[in-house]
Amino acid sequence: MTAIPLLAVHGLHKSFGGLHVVDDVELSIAEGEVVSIIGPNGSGKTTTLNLISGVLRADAGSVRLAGTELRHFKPHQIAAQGLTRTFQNGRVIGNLTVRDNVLVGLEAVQRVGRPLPALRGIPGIRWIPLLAETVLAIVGTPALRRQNVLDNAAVDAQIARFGERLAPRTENFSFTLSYANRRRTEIARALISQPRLLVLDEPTAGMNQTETAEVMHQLLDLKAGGQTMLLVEHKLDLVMTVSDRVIVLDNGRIIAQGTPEQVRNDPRVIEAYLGKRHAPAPDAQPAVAQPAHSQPTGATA
Amino acid sequence: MDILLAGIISGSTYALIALGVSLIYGVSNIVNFAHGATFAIGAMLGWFVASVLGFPLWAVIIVVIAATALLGWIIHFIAIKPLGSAPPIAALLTTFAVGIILDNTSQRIFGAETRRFPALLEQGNLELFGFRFGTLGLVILGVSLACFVALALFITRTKYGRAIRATAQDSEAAQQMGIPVARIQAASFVIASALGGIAGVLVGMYYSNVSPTIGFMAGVQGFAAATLGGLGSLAGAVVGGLILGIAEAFGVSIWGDSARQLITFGVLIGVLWIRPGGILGRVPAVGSEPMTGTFFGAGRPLTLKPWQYAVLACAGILLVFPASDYILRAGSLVWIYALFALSLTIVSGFAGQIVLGQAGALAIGAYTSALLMTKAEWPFVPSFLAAGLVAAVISVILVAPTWRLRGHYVSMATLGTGAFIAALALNLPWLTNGARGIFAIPRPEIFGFEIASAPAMYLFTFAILVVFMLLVGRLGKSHLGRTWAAVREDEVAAASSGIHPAAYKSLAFGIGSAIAGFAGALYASQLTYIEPAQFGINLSVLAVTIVVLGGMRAPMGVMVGALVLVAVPEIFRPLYEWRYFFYGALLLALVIFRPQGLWARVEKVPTWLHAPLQRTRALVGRNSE
Repeated sequence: MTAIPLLAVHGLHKSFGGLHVVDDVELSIAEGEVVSIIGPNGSGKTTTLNLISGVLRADAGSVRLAGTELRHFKPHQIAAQGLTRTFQNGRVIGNLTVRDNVLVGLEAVQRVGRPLPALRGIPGIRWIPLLAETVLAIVGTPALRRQNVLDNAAVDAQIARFGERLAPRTENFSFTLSYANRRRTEIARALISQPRLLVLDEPTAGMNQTETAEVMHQLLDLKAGGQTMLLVEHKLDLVMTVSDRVIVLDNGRIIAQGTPEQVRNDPRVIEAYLGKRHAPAPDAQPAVAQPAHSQPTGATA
Repeated sequence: MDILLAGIISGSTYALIALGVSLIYGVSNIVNFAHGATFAIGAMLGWFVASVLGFPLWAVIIVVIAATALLGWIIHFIAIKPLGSAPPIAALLTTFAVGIILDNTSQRIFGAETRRFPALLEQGNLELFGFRFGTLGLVILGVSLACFVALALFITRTKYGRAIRATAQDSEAAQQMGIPVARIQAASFVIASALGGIAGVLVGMYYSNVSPTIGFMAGVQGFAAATLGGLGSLAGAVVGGLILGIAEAFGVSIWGDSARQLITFGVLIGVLWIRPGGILGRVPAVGSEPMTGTFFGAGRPLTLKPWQYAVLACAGILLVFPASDYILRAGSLVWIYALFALSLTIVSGFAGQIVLGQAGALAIGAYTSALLMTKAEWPFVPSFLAAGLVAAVISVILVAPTWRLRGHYVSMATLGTGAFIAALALNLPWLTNGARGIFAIPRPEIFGFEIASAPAMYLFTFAILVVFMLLVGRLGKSHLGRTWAAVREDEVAAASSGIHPAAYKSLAFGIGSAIAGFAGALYASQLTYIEPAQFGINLSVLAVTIVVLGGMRAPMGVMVGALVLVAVPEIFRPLYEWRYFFYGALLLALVIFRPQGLWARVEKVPTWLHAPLQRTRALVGRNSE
C-alpha cells in the first residue's frame, strides 16, 4: 500500500444557512481506485463534489490531492493540480464546436504559448504572462502551430473513445448536440488533460439503457487503463459494476461504505433509500435492494 | 447635527430609489438601468404639475405616482416581457436602452435646462432643541417612512406580497403553483417606478431645482445604496440609502459639493471590492446551471473571402477621391467611433462582459494624448501610445475587484467608473482645465508628415482602424478567443477546466480599454478640442449600440454599426437632436428582434424564442381547425 492516498478528504463540512448539507465527510481514494458516492436525492453528493473541486468553498475540513492541500485553491488551480470534473446537468460551452469544447479542457495543462505560468497566481504580476500570451496569440509562433496539430490529434483520440457517437459531430456547435452527446463532450473535455483524478457527477443522467451500458463500458476501459475516478451516480447496476468501493451518503453524513457487495447488503443503506419498513433485521438474509426512486432501469441484487 | 439630519433626509430619498432597484432585482433578477430615468421623469413631471399647472403638493404626488406607475408598467411591457426567458444580459441592455429613450424624450419635452422647483413647503421654519429644520424635511422623512412601512406591510402581510416573495425565491416553482409570474414582475416594476417617481418629487423639492439629466446620477446612487445594503434585500436598501446619504452629507460638508459624485462612486466600488453581497445580502454561491446556447450566439458572424475584404478596403480608400472635405471629416469620425466600439468587441463580444462606461477609457486616452501634446510638447506617436497604455492601466485598476463577479455587477461597476472619470476630468482643473477643456490640440504628425487635411486624416484613421480590426480578428481566432468564449458562456465550467475567469476577463477589458484609449487620442486630434461634457454616458451608449447593431462577435461589426449609427443622423440633419433617442430605440429593437446584429447569419431560431413561437403555432393551429 502506498503511504499517501491520491485523494484524502477529512472532516468536510458545508452548511447553507442552518442546514448541514455536508457533515463531517471523510474519504480517501488510492491511485487507480474507482470510488462511487451514492445516496438519496438531497443527501449531499453533488455538494461534496463541488467542495472537492473548489466550485464551493468548504466551511471546514481538508481536501488533499497527492498530499497537496486544495481547500484554499480556486477551481482553475485545482484543475491544474490534476483534478477535473463533469457536471450533473452537463455544462458544455454552447457556442463552441465540440472540438473547441474539448480543447478548452487542455487549458489546465497546456504550457505552449502560455509562458511564465508560475507568475499567474500573483495579482498584478499576472499581467506579464497574460500579455505575453496575447502577443504570442497574435504573432502565432511555429511552436504554437505544431502544438495545435498535436492538440487536435489528442481531441480526435478522446472523441474516438465514444465510437461513432461523437466523431461525426466534431465540428458542430455543441448547442446542437443531444443531451447524451453533451455528456460525452464533457467527459472528453475532462479527460484530455490526463487528470490524476477524474470526478464524474451523474455521467449517465438522461441516458437510456443502451447509452448507459455504453458509458459503463467506457468507464471500465478507463479503469483498466489505471484512471482513478470519483463517481456520483444513481444507477446502481453501473455503480456496482464499476466501483472498487462505494460510499453512501444520507443527510450529508456517510452512513455506510465498503465494497459494492458489503454496501448492497447494508441495512442502513436500504433504510436510507426505501425507509425503515423495508430494511431487514441486521442478521436476516439480504433483501432485494432495489432503490425505487429515479431508478427506472433499476438494479438487481 | 444639522449635517446628520441633512444626511438622513437625502438618505431617505436614496433609500426610496434603492428600494425600487432592490425590489425589481429581488423579483426578476434584473437590474433596472432605466430606474434613474424614471426618477428624473418623476422630478420633471412634479415640476411641471407644481409650477406650470400650480397644483398643491398632495395633488403633485398623486399625479406623479400615477404617471410613474404607468411608466413602470410600460417599461416592463416593452423591455422585459418580450424577452421571455432570454438571459438577464438582454434585460440589462433593454432597460438601459429604455433609460436612454426616457432621458432624451424628457429633455426634448421639458428642455435640457435646469428648472426651479417651486417651494411648496417651508424650509428651516421649525426649531427643536436648538437645531433648525423645516416642514419640508419632515415631509420628506414622513413620506419616505410611510412608503417603507406601506411596502413592508404589503410584502409581508398581503396575498400579493406573498406571491412576490415566492417569485423572488424561485420563479419557476412559483409559476408551477399558479402564481402569474409575469404579472408579479410587472407589479414590481409598477411599485418600484412609483417609488422612484416619489423620490424624484422629494429630491426636486429638497434641492429646489431639477433637470432631465439628474436621472443618471440618481440611478448610480440607487445602485450604490442598493448594493451597499445588499441587492435584493429591501431592508438593506433602506439601510444602504441612509448610510450613503449620511456619508455624502459629511463628505460634502468637508470637501464641498464636488465630492458628492466621488463618494457615491467610492461606495459602489468599495462595496464591490470588500463585500459584494452588501450588508444584508450575499452573492449566491453557485448560479443555476445554464442551459446551453446563449443570447448573442444565435448567429455566426459572416465571413467573406480575402478578396472581398480587399474590395471593401479599397472602396473605403477610394472614397477619398469623390468625397467632399465635409464628408471626409465625418468619415474620420465614423472610423474613430468604430475603433472605440472595437474595444467592446473584445470585452463584450468575445469575453461576454457588458461594459457600460467605456467613454471613461476614451476620455483618459483623449486627455492623456492632448495633455502630452499641448503641455509636455510630446510628438504624436508617443502620445498616442501613452494614451492607450494609461487608459488601460487606470481602467483595469478601477474595475479590477469586479471581475470575481458576474453580469450586473460588472455593468454597474463600469457604468460608475465611466461617470467617475468624467467627474474627475471636471474636478481636477489644475490638470484638465476643468469645464473649459483643452484647445488647440495638434494634428497627428508621423515621421515628419503632418496629417492635417481632411483626406489625410480620413485615410489615417481608416488605416489604424483596419490594423486594429485585423489584430482583434486574429485574437478572436486564436486559442485566446476560445478561452474567452468559455468564460463568456459558462464561467464555472471554464474554471473547472483550468481557466482563471477573472484573469481573462480583466485581460479582455485591459486590451479593450487600450483600444478605446487609442481611439481617444485620435478623437482629440480630430476635433482639436476636448471638454468633460463630451465624455458623458451618451458616448458609452453609442459604443454599445454600435457593437450590438453591427454584431459583437466579429470586428467587421463595428464598421457596419458605426457607419449606420454615425452616418445616418448626419444625413437626417433636422432630426439631429433626436439621435440619442434614436440610438436608444434602435438598441431596444435590436436586442429584442436581432440580438446577433447585422453582420451575422441566422442559423436557427434562438432557443429562448422557441416557447413563444410554439405557443403562437399552437394558437394558429387551433384557429385553423
